[in-house]
Amino acid sequence: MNETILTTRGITKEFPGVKALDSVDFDLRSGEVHILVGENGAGKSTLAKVILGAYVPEEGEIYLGNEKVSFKTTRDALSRGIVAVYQEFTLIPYLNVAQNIFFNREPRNKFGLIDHKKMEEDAKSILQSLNCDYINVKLPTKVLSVAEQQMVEIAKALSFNPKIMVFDEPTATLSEREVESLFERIRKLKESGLGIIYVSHRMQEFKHIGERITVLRDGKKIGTVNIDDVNDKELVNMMVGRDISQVYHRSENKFSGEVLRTERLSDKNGKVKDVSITLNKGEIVGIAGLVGAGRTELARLIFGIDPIGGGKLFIKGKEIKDSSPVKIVKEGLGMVCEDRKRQGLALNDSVLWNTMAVSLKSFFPKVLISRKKIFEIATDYVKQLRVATPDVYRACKYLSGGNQQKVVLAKWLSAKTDIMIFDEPTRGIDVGAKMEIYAMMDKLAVEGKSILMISSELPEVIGMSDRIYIMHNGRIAGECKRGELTADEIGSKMLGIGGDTCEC
Amino acid sequence: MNAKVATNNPIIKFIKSIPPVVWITLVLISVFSMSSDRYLQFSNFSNMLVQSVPLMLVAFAQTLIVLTQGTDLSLGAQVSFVTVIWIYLTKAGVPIYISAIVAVLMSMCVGAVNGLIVSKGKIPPFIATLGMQNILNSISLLLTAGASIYIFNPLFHNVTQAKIVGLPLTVWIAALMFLITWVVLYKTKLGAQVFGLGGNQEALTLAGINLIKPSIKIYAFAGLLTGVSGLITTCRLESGQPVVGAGWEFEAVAATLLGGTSLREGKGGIGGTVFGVLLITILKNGLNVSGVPSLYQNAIIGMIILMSIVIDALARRAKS
Amino acid sequence: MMKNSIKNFKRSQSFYSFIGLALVFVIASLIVKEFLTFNNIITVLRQGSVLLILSTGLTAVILTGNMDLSVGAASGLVGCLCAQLLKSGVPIPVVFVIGLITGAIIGIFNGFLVGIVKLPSFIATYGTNWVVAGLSIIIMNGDIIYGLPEGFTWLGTGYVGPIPFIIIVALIMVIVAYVMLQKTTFGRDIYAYGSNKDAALYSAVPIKKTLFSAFIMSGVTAAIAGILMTARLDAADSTMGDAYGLQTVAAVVVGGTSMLGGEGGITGTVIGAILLTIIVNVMNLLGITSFAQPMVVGIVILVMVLFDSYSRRRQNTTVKKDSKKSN
Repeated sequence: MNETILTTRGITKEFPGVKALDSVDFDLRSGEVHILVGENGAGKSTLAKVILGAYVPEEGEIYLGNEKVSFKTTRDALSRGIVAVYQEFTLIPYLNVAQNIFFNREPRNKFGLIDHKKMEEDAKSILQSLNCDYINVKLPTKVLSVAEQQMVEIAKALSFNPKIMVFDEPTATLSEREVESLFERIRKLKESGLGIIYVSHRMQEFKHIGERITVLRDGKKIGTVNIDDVNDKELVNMMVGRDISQVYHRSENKFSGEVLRTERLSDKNGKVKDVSITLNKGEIVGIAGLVGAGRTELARLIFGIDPIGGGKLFIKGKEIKDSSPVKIVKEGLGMVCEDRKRQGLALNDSVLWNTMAVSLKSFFPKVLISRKKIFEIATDYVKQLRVATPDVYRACKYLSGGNQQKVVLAKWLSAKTDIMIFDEPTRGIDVGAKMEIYAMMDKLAVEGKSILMISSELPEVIGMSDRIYIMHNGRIAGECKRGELTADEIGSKMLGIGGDTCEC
Repeated sequence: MNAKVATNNPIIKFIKSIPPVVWITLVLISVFSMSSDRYLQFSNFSNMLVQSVPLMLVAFAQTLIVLTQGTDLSLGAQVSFVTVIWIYLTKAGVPIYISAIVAVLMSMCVGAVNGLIVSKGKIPPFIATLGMQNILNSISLLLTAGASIYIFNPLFHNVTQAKIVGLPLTVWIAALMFLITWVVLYKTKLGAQVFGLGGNQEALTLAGINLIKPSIKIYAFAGLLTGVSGLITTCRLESGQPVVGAGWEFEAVAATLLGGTSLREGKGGIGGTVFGVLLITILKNGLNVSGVPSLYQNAIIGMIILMSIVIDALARRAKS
Repeated sequence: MMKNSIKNFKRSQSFYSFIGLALVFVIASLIVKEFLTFNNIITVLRQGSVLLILSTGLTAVILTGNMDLSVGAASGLVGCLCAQLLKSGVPIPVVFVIGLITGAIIGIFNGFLVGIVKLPSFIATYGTNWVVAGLSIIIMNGDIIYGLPEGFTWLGTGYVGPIPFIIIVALIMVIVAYVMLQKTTFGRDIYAYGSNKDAALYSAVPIKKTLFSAFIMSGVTAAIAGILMTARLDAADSTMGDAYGLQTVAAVVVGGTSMLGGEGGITGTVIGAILLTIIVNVMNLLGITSFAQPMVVGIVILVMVLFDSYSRRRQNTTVKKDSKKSN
């Protein structure tokens, strides 16, 4: 027991414009849960994918025991007993649970056809070993709950008889109770001698299950520590790498006048219920909450993507009815979306056109456009925001995450909107770019613009906001001013515990 | 609150579970039965069943491909191609059974090429198969100089007239092909891959599964189905006709969608498709029986099919 | 700026189309003696006019990442409708207006199916194609119409100096489409929609309006093409638009406009339409039966789309390498 079963030496992996991993050493013992931790974009998922064979590193070696291996595909890793439970589900919606678990490895009967009976029995016994026999193996996975789907994912992984399992942010979409039952199962797997790599960025949770922690930052390994030898503060310092007050710098600022107000705002799907919030000129208001708490839905509602189901929305004192993004933007509101690649940018399009996407019509109200003027405007914003690109004609897909996010910012700055919604503004970008974005937010607030910031990174919410609303289950579960509540208090409100759900 | 009470009623629950395609079918039957006395006779219904067979097979093929998030616009052209090849080769002296097999093998090859272009070339299935449709049409027209080609052989008559246990042979063939397609879809690895291609292609890539082989197999299997459809069509027409299948691919897409197969997420199956095809056949037959001039039929059929797809799509969205 | 646009053109798919056009041109003049005469060049352009006009509208639709498979049938229907109206004595200007409105209605119908019902565009417009072709059959009642008023046929057969009027119309249409797509905010909306529909929505692009406009543009150009086609033939027949459906798709795709949307444009489409017309012209000059035309067009489409997909993937990998070097 407890011998080292996996070692990596000097793993380096590059993507266009960014070194995702820089000479990373890592090792895993049997019977342990080894936690990989770091901020967004630190390289933890990339390392996991290299170990799983999904990425081929440019440099470095991987050893299983003492044997050097090189994985070209996930199949190579699979054949050596390394399996993954991915963050995004890999289930096929209209195949049943058993078919999903044994996909592409279905047991056959003597006619060469799939032996559904045997497959279902095997699936049942695996689920039983996970204490999940309540899941009906004959149901299509489409109808299962998220937590149930995850159990099927784990069962699928187990059906390969693995030696090493990799969990990539498995709790992102689970409720607290579901997280606890997941942990119970992970402990059981660990006891059976599996080595488990657990990728996470939630500090609250990994003390409960991990043995060792490896901290990554900007693609570099900062260190590996035993979980008992380290406290929260030391961990945060390792992850962030500098004093928090430096990262989240806020200038003195005065607020004046309300620019945005919702009164018992609800959507039509029950994801947002009776939300009443306000935002003042020059203020940064954070909205904290778990994934699925209705934060993004609230943003979509305010921005006019989804129709309003009930309640009222006021922008600068004017009630907005039958809203659409076109209307909302005219009122001076802009939105930096959660999913930059899908909603924020046209990746195949150039920096130039993405920068001009919103503002084109205001620069050229007479419909005819001038390429020369567009080039000048776009170049100006690219310089202002220090977007690292050879020229404005470069397609956005070739930029790093941080530079892509700067282009999104340029898009809204050029449109001169004075109220901004930032939905997860620092997801998937490196620390340097993060700090630039924080500085930009601070500068916008000083200039008298107002920001509504949605984030699941608590330090970010606490560090940047003048005021914080906490969302839980579609409702506002609490409100506090800068410095009023600690991270722990906010965290428990996010989970819907801690008593009062009235507005404080 | 009312809605909640209603859904607890088992009768209403049952009625709600019936797919729209059945309702549209029933409405059509009642409309046509009012317009003609002969409509509700058994012989007319048995006729319709026989008429539906060639399209039925094409629709099974289309359903498989739609399940993978593709669409094959060359299926109709494949049917024409098979009728032409079979007669052409037989005329050239090849024994009739051998030429039949060769014709079907050729349409399977066409399918395999489609699958290869779509998966290896990574291009949208509809544009690849649209190209193939035109290539096949050209070949059929060139081989026949644009007209029908004939041979006399008692085989054709025998096939269309033969009955087994009271049902025409061609209907049995359709049943057999249904069974084979069903087995492929639900009892083989390939079938699971069909749902995988349609439902979660990323997952397949993550699992390191090669997407090219299953695509080739599926499109080739579709070629088998259109091949058999082409043979039956030839027997009915007793000739090879270069444009006989034109538009069948569209009717097959319509039947597939009406049968509840989704274009997006690998949802559905061939059971519903059977009803979709019956609906289209009833529609065509009804227009004939109630004396609508054939000149008007194309537009009317196209319009009704399109409207059914629209109503169906809107109804499904309202439900979810 | 000029340098940049040349550089961009070299990088674009249209550049390959241009090389293709040059190659086909050279080969055509080598194997067919009659090809490189003034008369034949004018013939090519005249033959190509209808295709060129159809392709300008379809370019807008394909730039949004959608497809319109109904343009051939739509031009046929408008042609038939106009011929019937002219035969029954309706004045020419009224006929034009009715023709253009019909085209716009077909466009709106397609926009409805794609934008509101949310059917995949190629299925929706394939359906429209069948319906519209069926309507042509009904309008013509199985006949062919000859002998249209001279004032009308002049549009298709008349000359301004040595240049056929129809070529001038095509040229104007190309310029109008070019300005609309490349030089206006409306054109940018179309590109934005095609590059990433969600991002366009979040950037306050009126996406429904944009989609409808593209389909209406395609319907109206199909109507203009149909009117000119009827005028040039001095006849109408219910199947006259059929062959154009696929050729138009081929012209746009060969011109380098991506089926995925957001890339390409009118410049490429002009190249594609001329290239395709030359191929058909050469086949006519060589006396190849018209039955072979769909095959050639089909092969051209397949080869072009495969090439496009291949070079796109190669481009991705080379730029990756580029940026690695610069690190």
